[in-house]
Amino acid sequence: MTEFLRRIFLPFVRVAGYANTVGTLVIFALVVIMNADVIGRGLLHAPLHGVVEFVVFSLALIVFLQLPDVVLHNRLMRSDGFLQILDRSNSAFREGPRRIIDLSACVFMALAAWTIWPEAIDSIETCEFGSMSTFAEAAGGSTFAGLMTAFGRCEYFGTPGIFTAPWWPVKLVIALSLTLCMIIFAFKVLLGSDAAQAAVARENAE
Amino acid sequence: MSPVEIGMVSVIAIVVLVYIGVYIPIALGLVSFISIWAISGKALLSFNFLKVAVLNGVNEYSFATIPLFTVMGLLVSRAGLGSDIYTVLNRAFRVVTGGVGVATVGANAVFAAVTGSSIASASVFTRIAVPEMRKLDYNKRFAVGVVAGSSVLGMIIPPSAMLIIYSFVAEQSVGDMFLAGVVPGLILTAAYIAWIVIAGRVSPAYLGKDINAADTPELTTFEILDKTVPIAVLVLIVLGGIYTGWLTPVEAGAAGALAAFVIALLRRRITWHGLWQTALETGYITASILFLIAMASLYSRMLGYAGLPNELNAFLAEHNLGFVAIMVVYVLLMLFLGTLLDTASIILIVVPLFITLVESMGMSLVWFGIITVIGAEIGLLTPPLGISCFVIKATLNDQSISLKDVFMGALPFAFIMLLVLIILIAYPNLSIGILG
Repeated sequence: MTEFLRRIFLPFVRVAGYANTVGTLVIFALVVIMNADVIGRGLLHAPLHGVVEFVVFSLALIVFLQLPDVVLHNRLMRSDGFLQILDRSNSAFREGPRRIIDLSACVFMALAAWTIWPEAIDSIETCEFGSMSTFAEAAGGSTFAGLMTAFGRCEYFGTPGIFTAPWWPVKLVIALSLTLCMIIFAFKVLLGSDAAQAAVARENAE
Repeated sequence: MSPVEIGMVSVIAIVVLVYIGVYIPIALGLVSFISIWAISGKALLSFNFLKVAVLNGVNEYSFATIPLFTVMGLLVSRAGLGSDIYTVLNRAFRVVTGGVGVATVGANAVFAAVTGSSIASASVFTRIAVPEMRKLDYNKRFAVGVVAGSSVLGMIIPPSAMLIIYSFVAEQSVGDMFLAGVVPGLILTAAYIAWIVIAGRVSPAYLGKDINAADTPELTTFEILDKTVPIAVLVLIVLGGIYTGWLTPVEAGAAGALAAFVIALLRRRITWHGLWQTALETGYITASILFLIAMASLYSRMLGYAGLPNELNAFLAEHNLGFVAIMVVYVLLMLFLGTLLDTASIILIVVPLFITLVESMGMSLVWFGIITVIGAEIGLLTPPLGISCFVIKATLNDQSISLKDVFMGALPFAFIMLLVLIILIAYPNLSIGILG
C-alpha cells in the first residue's frame, strides 16, 4: 500500500521540481532586468518601461512556483523545537503530531485553492478565448492574430499605454500551486513525513 | 463571545500552535480564517479575506528586496568575504587582550552590512572564529558566546530581513528602516567590544585562563586592500545608494546582488552549479518569507476586524499607563515571546496589535521598528528556542561544547543587548536622527 502511494506521489514531486526550476529562472530574470534598468537610467538616461510591473508579476510567480517545492523539502517556516523534543523522548509517538499538523496545512491549502480557482477561471474568461467578442476589435483571419486580440481583451495589470500584462497566468499559477501544496500535504499525512521525505530524496537522486 | 474576545483567543491560539510546531503561515492563516468566520458568522467573508491575502499578499514592489538581498547575502558568503574581513581585523586586534573576540564582533558588524541574516553570520563565524579561539585556549563558553552574541548584528545592521519584514507590517519605507538601523547596530557593536576589552582587563579568566595572542601572519598592503575593498564597495553601493536616494532599496538590492556576483566571479569562488544553488536557496527563502507575510496580512486584517488594536489602546488609556510603563510591558512581552517563538513570528504577531497605540502616543513607527526588532532578537540568544545558539551548536563539530555552553556563553551578550535596547528606547533620536 505504501509502495503504491509512493508511486502516485512521485509525479507530483517531479512537477514541483519543474515549477521550482521555472521559479528559479524568474529570480535570475529579476536580477538582470533590475540591473538593466538601473544602468539604463543612470548611465544611458534610458530607463526600462514596465519594470515595476514586471517586479510585482515576478514576485507572485517566484512565490507560488516555489511554494510546492518548499513544502516538499520541509522548508515552510515552523519552529520545531517542541517536535524535536518529542522525537528524542518517544519514537512511537513522534509521527502522530506531525501528521496532524500536516493535515491542518492540507485543509488550509484546500480552503485557499477553493477560493482562488473561480478567480483564476474568471480571469481567463475575460479574454474570451474562442468566442467573438461583442465589444472588442474583431479577431483577424489567422489563429495567431485571433489569439493576440484575445490577449488584448484580458483583465490586465499595469498602466495602459506603458506596460500591461494579462493577470490570468499569475492567478492560474497561484491556483495550481495551492492545489499542488494541498496534494503534497495530503501525501505527507498518508505516508508520514519521514517516508515522504525519503521518497523525495530518492526521486532527486535519480 | 464578543469580537474582541475572539481576537484575543486567536492571538493566544496562534502563539500556542506555532510553539508546538504548526507551520507559521498555516497557523496565522487558519486561525484568522476561523476567527473571521466566528466573528461575522459568514463563511463568505472568511473566504473573501483569504482570497485577498493570497492574491494581493505578495504583490508589492518593495517585497522584491527579499529575493535580491538574499541573493547578495548568499553570494558574499560564497565569495568568502566574511572570513576576509575577519583575517584583517584579527591581525589589527592581535595586541588587545581578547583580540580574537573583538575581531569576531567587528567582522560580524561589517559582514552584517552585506547580509541580512543572523543565521548566515552565525554559521560563517562558527566555522572560522570558534576553532581559532579554542586553539588559543579561550574559554569555550566565551568563544561560542561571542559568535552567538555578534551574530544578531546581522539582523540589525542593514540590509536586514527583519527590518524588511517590519517595514511591511507597519507600512514604513524599507529605506528609512535600513537607515535607522545603522546607528543602533554600531552602538551594539561598540558595547560588545567594550565588554570584551573591559572583561579582558578586569577578569581575564572569563575569556580564558592563559589565552595566547593570535599569531596571524603579517598582511601586505595589497592583501589588506584585496580583503577589504570588495566589501567596502558593496556597502557603498547598498547603503550609499539608499542614503543618497540614488537607488531605491529594491534597486540597491539588485545592484548589490550583481556586484556580489562579479566579486565571486573574479575570485573564482562561483561555478554554474554554485550559482544555480544560490538561486534555488533564494527561491526557498523568498517563497517561505513572502507566503508568511501574505498570511500575516490576513492575521492583521482579522485583528483590525475584531477591533483588538483599538481595544488595547483604549484599555491602556483607561488605566493611565504612561510611556515608561507601556515600554516595560512591551519589552517584557518581547522577552517572553522570544523564549517561545522565532523573531519573524514575534514581529508579525505583536506589531499589528501595538501600531495603533504607538501612533496615538505620537511616537515614530520607524523607531518602534528598531525597538521591536532588537527586542525580538534577544530571543535568538535565550533558551529554549535561541535559533542562533542552535545554529552554532549544529555547525560546530565539537562534542565537548554542549548546547548549554552556547546558551551560557551567549547570556552576557543577551544582557548587553537589553541594556542597549533600554538606551535606544530612552533616546529615540539615536535611531531616527539619521533620517533628518
